[in-house]
Amino acid sequence: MDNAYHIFGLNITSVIHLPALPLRHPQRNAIPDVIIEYGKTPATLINPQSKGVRFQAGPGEFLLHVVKVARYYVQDGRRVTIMPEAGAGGDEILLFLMGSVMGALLHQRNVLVLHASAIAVHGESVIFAGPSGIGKSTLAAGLNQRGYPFLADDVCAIATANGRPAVISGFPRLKLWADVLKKLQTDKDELKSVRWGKDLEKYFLPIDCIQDTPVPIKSVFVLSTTNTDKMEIAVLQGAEKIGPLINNTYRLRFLEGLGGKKDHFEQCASVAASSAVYRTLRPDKGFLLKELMDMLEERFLL
Amino acid sequence: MNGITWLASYPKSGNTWFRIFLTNLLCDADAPASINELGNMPIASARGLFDDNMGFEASDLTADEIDRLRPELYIHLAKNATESLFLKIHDAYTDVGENVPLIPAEATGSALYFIRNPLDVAVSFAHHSGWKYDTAVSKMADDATAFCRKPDRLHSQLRQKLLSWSGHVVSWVDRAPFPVCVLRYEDMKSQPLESFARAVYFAGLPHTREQIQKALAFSSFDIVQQQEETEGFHEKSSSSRRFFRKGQIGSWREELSEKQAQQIVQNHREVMRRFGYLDENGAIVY
Repeated sequence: MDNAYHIFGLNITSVIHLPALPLRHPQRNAIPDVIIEYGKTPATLINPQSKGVRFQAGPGEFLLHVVKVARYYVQDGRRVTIMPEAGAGGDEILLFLMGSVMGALLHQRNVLVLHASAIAVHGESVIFAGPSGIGKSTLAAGLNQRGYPFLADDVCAIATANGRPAVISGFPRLKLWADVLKKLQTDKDELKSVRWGKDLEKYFLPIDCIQDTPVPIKSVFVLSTTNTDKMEIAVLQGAEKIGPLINNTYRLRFLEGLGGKKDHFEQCASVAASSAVYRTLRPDKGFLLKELMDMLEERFLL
Repeated sequence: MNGITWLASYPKSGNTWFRIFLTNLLCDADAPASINELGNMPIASARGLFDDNMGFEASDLTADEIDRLRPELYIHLAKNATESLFLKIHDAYTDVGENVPLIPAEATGSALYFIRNPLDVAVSFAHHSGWKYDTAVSKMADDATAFCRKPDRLHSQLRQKLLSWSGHVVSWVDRAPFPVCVLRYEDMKSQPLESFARAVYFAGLPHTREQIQKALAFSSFDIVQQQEETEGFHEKSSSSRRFFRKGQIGSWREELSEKQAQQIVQNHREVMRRFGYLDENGAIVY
């Protein structure tokens, strides 16, 4: 029996149990937006426009191969076919489905996806974008502890709602490393490991995510680190706001193969035009979380 | 293209100096290149390099899983390179599986291997990492020494197994099946034109003696130190005050204790002798 969910604003029917709330009123015989199923996937794409080590992307098609886990084949933003490999655990199959595969699916649907986390602040969304390890999830978790509702982690989907770019909430969980959980004074013993039985101290932190409707974007903080003591936030102006959004697009290389770069630029320009974009610098040595959150709060509460 | 040219070394052995020189050589401009624009020669263990090309993130994999995928990454990069590709690397030349080397020969053109007197490396490594000299001495003797190895956090780079200082040298010089050109830091300092020209011709670059001379002048210690003074250096460790500290030969003599120096010689006697850091009587040369 397949399960029905509402995630990223989509009605998803999935053969795999997803860590999300089930669709409240599933309608019989209604056609879902996305179907996730097991099946046979092609070994390669016939006409890939972009090829990485383990992914291939062409118009309307995307293929990802995670060795000893699964092959994932994503078509037209509507269908995900998963071919598990021998010995793969269900949680591992889910892990890559929730990340790269969901990102490719959203790209195919022409949804802007930033590599970012997001929280809600008085009915608007505040986004933290940047490369892996910069502190996106840590900030979302820390600010959630201060009472701001959680919207998205890692895969931050942005659609247009009432003429304004808005965050559509994703999976209601954060991925956090042991050192961050310690900083957040959160006990990891109760948490599920991201890769069970592997030498990786990274955990899923379930988190309430109640926003059902898109949340218009107020501000985007683009995070980076410095090897100095500097901690600062600088507001970006005009066209300089667009580049950082393009650069922090989730799996930009997928988009090159899937097509739609022109739309993507316009989507980024639209976010830049309607929200404040800040460059945020923090020292790479030690994560001064409290100080950084104070500084960010001061800005986004303006 | 002809495969990756590896710029390989144990840390603090002249690798960054060479990359600054090479950046100046390749751009052949009328003024020194910025030390903060060495982006065309990234480090092989850069997290972004892996993530951008793989299709999923290293942060969801264990260090051993990442290691097993890295050879494929370098084959992919070599295959898709549209111009000469230079990658800096501090990893030792090791295997990631049975007879599967981290650095695949099929992705490789050649390697330049930078080596420096381990007595001076110890001093520089300690300053770089915010360690006591004793710590540097023992890290350099330990085959388990690795960068970015803790499994409870996300490091800025992928894990890099360094081995001991001697183990690192031998891994690249003796084990790698492709051509390796060894450059001694001391020769680069004392006979710069000869040393750098040898590296340039070995790497198959077409540049003239005059161009090499100009690139050398633009990457002089005074210039890079001045640049770091005014604009900072992205690659400096936050544990250290400055990256371009002294760059001298034999500065260990003012820094290390007799005991520490003896310990280093004892740990690395064979390789030190082989590369001219000890003379035939076992005396320290530099």
